[in-house]
Amino acid sequence: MEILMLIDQMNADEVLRRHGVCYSTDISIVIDDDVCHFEIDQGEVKKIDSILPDTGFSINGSRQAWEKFCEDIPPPEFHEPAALIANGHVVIKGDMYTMQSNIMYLRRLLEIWRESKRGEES
Amino acid sequence: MSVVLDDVTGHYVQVELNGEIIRLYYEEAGQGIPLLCLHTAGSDGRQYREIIRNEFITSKYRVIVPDMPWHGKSSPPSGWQEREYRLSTDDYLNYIIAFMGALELDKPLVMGCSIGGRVVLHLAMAHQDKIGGIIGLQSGLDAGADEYAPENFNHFNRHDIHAGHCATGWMAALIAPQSPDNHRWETLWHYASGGPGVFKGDLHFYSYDGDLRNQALNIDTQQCPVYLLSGEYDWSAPAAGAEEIAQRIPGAYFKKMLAMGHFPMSENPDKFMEYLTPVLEDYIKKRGNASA
Repeated sequence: MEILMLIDQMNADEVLRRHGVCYSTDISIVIDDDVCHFEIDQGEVKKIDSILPDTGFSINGSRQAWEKFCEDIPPPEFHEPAALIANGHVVIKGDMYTMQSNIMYLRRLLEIWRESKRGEES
Repeated sequence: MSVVLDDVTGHYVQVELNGEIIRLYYEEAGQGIPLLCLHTAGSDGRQYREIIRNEFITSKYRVIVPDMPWHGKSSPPSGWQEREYRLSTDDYLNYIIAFMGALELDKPLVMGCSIGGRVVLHLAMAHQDKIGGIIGLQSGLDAGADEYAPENFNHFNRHDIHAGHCATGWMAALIAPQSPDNHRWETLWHYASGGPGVFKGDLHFYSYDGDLRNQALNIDTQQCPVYLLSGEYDWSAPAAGAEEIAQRIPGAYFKKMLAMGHFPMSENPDKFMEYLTPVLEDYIKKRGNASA
């Protein structure tokens, strides 16, 4: 149910849909060994599951790093997706080009995901 | 509805650089001590849009904000389409000195951010007699690049990636989470609207040519006061780097700006003024003492 709500939330987000209008890929958030895979088709989130695909790219970090990212006011180096990447707190695996080619989609996707995580905790 | 006009005026000036005449755009406001403001890589003078309108500053300073060649409303050299833009230290210093000469600025206080925060150090080392002092925002000796690898920045200039979106995504990560959304997105808009290859070309100076790690920072702060202000959320030019610079220059002032990122004057101007105001007041005091 929570996953369906997150899919609805993402697909209702006009900014995410606009960034993804020509974007179809697989994006996976990996937390330690737990996978949260988003199948993206023309910007629309078609499904979320826990299977790491061979396609697209994954963004891999420790639970501690992702928890810091999700804090209400994250500390320096943990406050933005590109800050996590640049400082080595997460590692991109897979197709780097696909990640770089639409980093604004990734940023928005993680922003909505982060808001949902904050909602779970409150 | 009443119309509110800023007291800011824009001008163009022709400046000779490397044997070519370049048309440079600048804005200015206020009267008093000349305060020359230098923007970051891949952006332009709009970053100082609130500073140049601040009444405290313009009552004491003549604020001058140019766009570098290739940036904003300043022109690139003719034949730009056949050149690869790569900013060198010499080019950067030549442009600043030529611009100061064109406007006949008498020993301005020069404030620069990021690449501007680096070049003010070069300026003070090479042309101390021509300036009154420097304010380095997000200054660093280097950008952590130990090997020459410009291909690391190809994503900012390749045909199949929108450089504006890409730069926006990366630069968003240098802004503090506490910064107001309107200023965050205005700052990022400037990055979204740069010319092709310009941001990458600026990073040549930031990452390689302007590296100061192996140079003595010989700056006499009695003649040229040095102020360094750095935001805590900046991981590209971290505050610890500016603090190290301050330790290497006797008499230099350093302050870490809390809840601030890489673009203090643009991402959170009101908060930035809390840090800038005492610096500008101190400079007036020092200058008064020097001329007394």
